[in-house]
Amino acid sequence: MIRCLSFLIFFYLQLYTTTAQIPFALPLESVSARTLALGNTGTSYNPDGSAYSTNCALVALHKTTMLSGMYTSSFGELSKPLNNSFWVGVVVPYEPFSFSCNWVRSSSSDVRNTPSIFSSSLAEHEKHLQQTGVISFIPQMNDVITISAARQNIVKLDWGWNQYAMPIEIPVGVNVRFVRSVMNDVTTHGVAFDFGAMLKLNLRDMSFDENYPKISFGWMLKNLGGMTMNWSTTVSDYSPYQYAFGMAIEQPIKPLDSQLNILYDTKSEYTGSNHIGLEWVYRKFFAARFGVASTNVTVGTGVDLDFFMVDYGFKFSSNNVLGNVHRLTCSFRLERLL
Amino acid sequence: MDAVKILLWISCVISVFLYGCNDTTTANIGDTYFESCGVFPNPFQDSVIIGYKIQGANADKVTLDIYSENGTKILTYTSPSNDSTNIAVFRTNSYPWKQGYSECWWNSSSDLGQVPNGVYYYYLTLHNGSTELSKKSGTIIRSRK
Repeated sequence: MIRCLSFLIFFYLQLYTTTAQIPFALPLESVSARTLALGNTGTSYNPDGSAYSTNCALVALHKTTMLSGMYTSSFGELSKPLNNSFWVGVVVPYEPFSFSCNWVRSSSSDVRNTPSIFSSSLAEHEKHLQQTGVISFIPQMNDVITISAARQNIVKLDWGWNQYAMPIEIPVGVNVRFVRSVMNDVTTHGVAFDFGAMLKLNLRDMSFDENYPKISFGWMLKNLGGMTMNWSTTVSDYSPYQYAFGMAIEQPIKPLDSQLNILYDTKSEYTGSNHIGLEWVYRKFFAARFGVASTNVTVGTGVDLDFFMVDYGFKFSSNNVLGNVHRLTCSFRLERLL
Repeated sequence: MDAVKILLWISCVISVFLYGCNDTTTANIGDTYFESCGVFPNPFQDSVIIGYKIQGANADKVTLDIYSENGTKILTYTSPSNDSTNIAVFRTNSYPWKQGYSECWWNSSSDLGQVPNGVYYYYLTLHNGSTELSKKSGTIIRSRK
C-alpha cells in the first residue's frame, strides 16, 4: 500500500514540472484504430495490442498472445495522403508479466526538393519557382521500435466491513523506444523510456451487484528524463518528458446485453490537451465509438470474431484545413487461431 | 446471423469511409484562386519562403497555417495583421491578397520557440470574408546543418 501511494505522489509531482515547448514530433499519437476513434484516449483502458502506446502498464492486462497490424492515411486527400503509417506489434503474456514488441514506420510523400536562390527580388523569386518545377523528391521516414514489459500486481484491500479483502489491480510497465528518422541526407537516432502505472478496481466486488462498473485510473510518463535526438550533422533536438493521466468507467448495461465505456484523458504535450471517448460494445462482438480529441471529432467501429478483430477509426479535420485521418487495424489472437 | 452482422459492420465502415473521401484541401472555388504555389528552399535551415500567385480580385485575406507532422497546429498567420513578432511576414508589391505574385516568409519560430528539425505541413487559404475561395497545401522540411 505504501509503495502504491509513493507511485501516486511521484506521478502527481511530475504533472507540475513539465514545460511547454515544441518537441521533436513523430506522426502518430496512438497506433490503433480503436484508440483513434476514441479521441486518442486509452491511458486507463485499452484492451487491444496498441496498449503500449497509450499506457505501457496496460500491456500487463493481456492474457492471450496477440498479433496486430495497422495502416493509417493521414491528412490531405484520401487518394493522396500527406503521411502514411504502418504498425506491426505482438503482445506475449507470461504471467505475471507481459511483453510487447512493436514497429511503427511512417513516411511523408510528395516532399519536393527546391534549391535556394541568392536574390531578394520578388520577380526573381517568381521566376525561380516557375523554372525549378519538380527537380527531385526528398526521402523522409521515421522508424520507432518499442519494447515493453509490464507486470500485473494485485493488492487485497481490507475495508473492514466485508468478509473478504477487495482485490485492486495495480499493473506497472516500462517502454524502451528506439527512434530513427531519415530526412533527405541526414539521419537521427534517439532512445526514450516511458513509465506507466494504473489502478483498477471493480465496484461489483464492493457492492455485490453485477450492474456496478469497473473504474480505472492510468498514468503514463513519456520520454523520462527527456529524449535527445542527435542528427548526423552538428545539431540535436530535444523532446521533453510528457505525462498523460486518464480515467475510465466500464459500465455494464445488462438489459441491452452490452457495455458502455467512458474514457477521459489529459495530456501535457504542447500546451496540453483533453480527450474524451465513448464506446458502446454489444455482446463483445460489435463496437461503436465516438471521441473528441482537443477540437477534433473522431468516430469508429469494430468487430471482434474471437480469434480476429478488425477496427476502423476516422478523425475529422476540425477546420477542414489539414484533412482527415483514416485508420484500419487488424488483430489476431494467436492462441485461439491455432 | 453473424454474416448479417458483419455485412452491417462493413456497410457502416464504407459509409464513414466515403464521407471521408470528400477532402477538398486544394479546391478552387469561384473566379479567384491560387494559380500556383511553391516553396524554396526545401529542405530549409532557418527560414522558408512560400510563394503564390493569385488569379482574380475577390479575395480580402490570406491565411498561412503550419502544422507539425502529427497534425498539431504550430502557427496561424493572417494578412493583414498587426503582428510585430516577425515570425511570419508577407512580402508583396501591393497586397498579399491581390492578383499577382506574393510570398510569405516564415522564420521557423512559433509562440513556443523555434521548431525542431522535422516535417511540417503548410496551408495557404484565400478568403473573402468568411468564405474560403481557394486552398493550397504542401510539405516542407526543416533540416539544420
